[in-house]
Amino acid sequence: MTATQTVATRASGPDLPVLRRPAVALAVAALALAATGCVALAVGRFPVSVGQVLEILRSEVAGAAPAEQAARDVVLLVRLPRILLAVLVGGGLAVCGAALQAVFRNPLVSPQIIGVSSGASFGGALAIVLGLGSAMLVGFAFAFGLVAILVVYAVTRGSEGAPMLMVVLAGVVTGSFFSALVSLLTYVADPYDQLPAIVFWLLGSLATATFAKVGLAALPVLAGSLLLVLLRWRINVLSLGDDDAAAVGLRPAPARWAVLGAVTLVVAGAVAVAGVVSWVGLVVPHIVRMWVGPDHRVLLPASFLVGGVFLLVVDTVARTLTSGEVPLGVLTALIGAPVFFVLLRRNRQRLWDSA
Amino acid sequence: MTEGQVVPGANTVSRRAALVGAGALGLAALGGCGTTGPTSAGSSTRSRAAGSVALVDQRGKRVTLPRPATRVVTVPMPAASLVVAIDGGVEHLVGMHQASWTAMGDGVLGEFFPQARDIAHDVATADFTPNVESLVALRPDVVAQWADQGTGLIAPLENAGLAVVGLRYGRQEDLDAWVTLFATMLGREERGAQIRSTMAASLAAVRAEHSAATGPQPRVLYFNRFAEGLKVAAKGTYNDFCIRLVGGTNPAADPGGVSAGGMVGVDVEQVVAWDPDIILLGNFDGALPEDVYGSPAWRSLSAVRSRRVYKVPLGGYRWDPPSHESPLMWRWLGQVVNPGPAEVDLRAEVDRYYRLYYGRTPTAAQLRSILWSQANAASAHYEQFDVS
Repeated sequence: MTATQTVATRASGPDLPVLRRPAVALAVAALALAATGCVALAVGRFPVSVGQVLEILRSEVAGAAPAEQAARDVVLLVRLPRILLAVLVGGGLAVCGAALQAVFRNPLVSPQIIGVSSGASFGGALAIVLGLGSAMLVGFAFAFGLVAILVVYAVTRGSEGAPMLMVVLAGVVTGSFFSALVSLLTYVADPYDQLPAIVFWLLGSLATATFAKVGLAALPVLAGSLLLVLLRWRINVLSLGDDDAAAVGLRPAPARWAVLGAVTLVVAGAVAVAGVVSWVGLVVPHIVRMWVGPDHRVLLPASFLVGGVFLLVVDTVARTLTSGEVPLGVLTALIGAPVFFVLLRRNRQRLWDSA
Repeated sequence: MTEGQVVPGANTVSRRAALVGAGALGLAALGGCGTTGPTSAGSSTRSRAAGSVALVDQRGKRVTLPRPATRVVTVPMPAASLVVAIDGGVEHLVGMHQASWTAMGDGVLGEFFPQARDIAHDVATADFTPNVESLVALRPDVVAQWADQGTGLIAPLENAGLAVVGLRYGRQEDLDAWVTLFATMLGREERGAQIRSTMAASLAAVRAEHSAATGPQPRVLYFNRFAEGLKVAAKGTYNDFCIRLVGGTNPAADPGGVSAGGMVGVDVEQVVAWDPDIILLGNFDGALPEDVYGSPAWRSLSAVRSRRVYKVPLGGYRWDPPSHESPLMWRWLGQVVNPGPAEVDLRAEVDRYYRLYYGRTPTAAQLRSILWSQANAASAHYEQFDVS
């Protein structure tokens, strides 16, 4: 019961260093997110000064005459939706990773593990091969993400209490199955027009962000994330293991399915608008756990904020580093893998067991 | 490899060397039309042996056929319509890539040659891996296959005893080499020479017309992809060549453009910063001018404000990558970039080339469809292409 003890001491925390107190940590993370957002609004390939950005925002709020049209359009119609989408996707995936790592009691679990990402990828790729438009692409991705989790549910339903191992195995198998279907689609896709579109979309990108996409992603991602935050107590208990959870009067299976349902909402929504963005859901929860500890009452909201910062930084680098666009999935892996490695080396003790 | 793109594997040095070589070959083609070219990769000579055909493909490999091919299979997509153009018909084309077949069936070639629908098209997968057994079953005299995508595409065919002509793609001199190779293997060298000299004359004429022009050069940006992520044609692309040929400049390849060559992904903001005068939408996705005009983030662009966004035409083959119909692309683009009275009427030019290649001319409705007249109707100066 070391984890509970740690939770208890952390939660009561007046003797913690200031930065690790829950309220302070959340405030710092929120401030960091706001600051990163402001910086991201002011940088890009189109030259707009910080002063101009403030002027544009001010005149927009005041309803005054717009400043220079091109600068205004770049800031409000190109950068702003992209920033909002980065925060939604990054935050959503990170909060999912944190919740999944807790309920599966495994530090290597990320949203990919339950098969939803692969299902959603297949849906999106199918929409491209069938020649359907962007709106249908989002719809298909979302629908097949849900199909994937239903398959996982159906596979594990018969077994008593849906033990953790069954869920993980079913998720891995479902994920592999849908990955194979994606490969099949890339095999039959037209090599000149459909294949590049599928590859671009699967690599993950926020380049096609519009307010319409922000609107589409906002509902499932925010709803799912909120649900996870509401479940923070149950997630704390589930992180002790099924037997301990049962001992304190929580039925593990329904609670776990509630978490999985919420994760599905978020991941399907994120994949639908941004493709598969890897590593965020794996790395960010670890960073945050080392910072604020394993109490999910703090860990979950903090993961959302830090995940938003992480993906926003990565995406801003992706669009400003060169005049060409660097695929997002490549950058998250390039940055995520070494960061994870360094964390592992430095914090072998604290990373998981006694964080 | 995405079509119309510079070979991705080629490094900068070899690409530069290739371009230098390209210039030399181009000059040779212009100076000595109709004469036998030097015996380098891509050129060929008719062997003295009775009826037998010897050629050197773009791998530098010597291929010998006992007689001119009457059963040709093409795996590279643009090769099918080029065989039809050089042969003046479809009877010697016995197999082609699925995507060529679909494109032919949907386009004007399907209307010119309805029997093209019966040609086998199960010869390779989407990534050009050959289906050896169905290929052998077609008993081809020769198979055209990509030579720049690893040996895995050609080796299985040669192991099965088939004669393979390896092809590279993307530049003007590749196109000339293709014409020579295909004409030689089909035993139609005079026709190949005629096509090459006609194309070279067009190139010289277009170049002369636009080199005389003075005044500001419009900035022209070609989008290889628009719908799912933007991709523009940068240095070393055929589209860049076409834009410069007709007196435009390409902001993606100029100083301040992208450092990489080929088709490069960019974000909207970069396009706004370049502020092109003219936008060309390619035929590799379904994007139309109305998608650009209707998007709020693009409204401040010069090209949008002056309504100079155009879908590139699609004839016997797409006009954006190099093909035997490229001379028509040069004419079309010349008039799009420099609207006004044209020295050569596009309609007459289309008729002339189509008569040469396919032995027939398009109807007014077919020409409107080739030129995307309906999709481009709302764009400035497009009435200059009006056909009734």
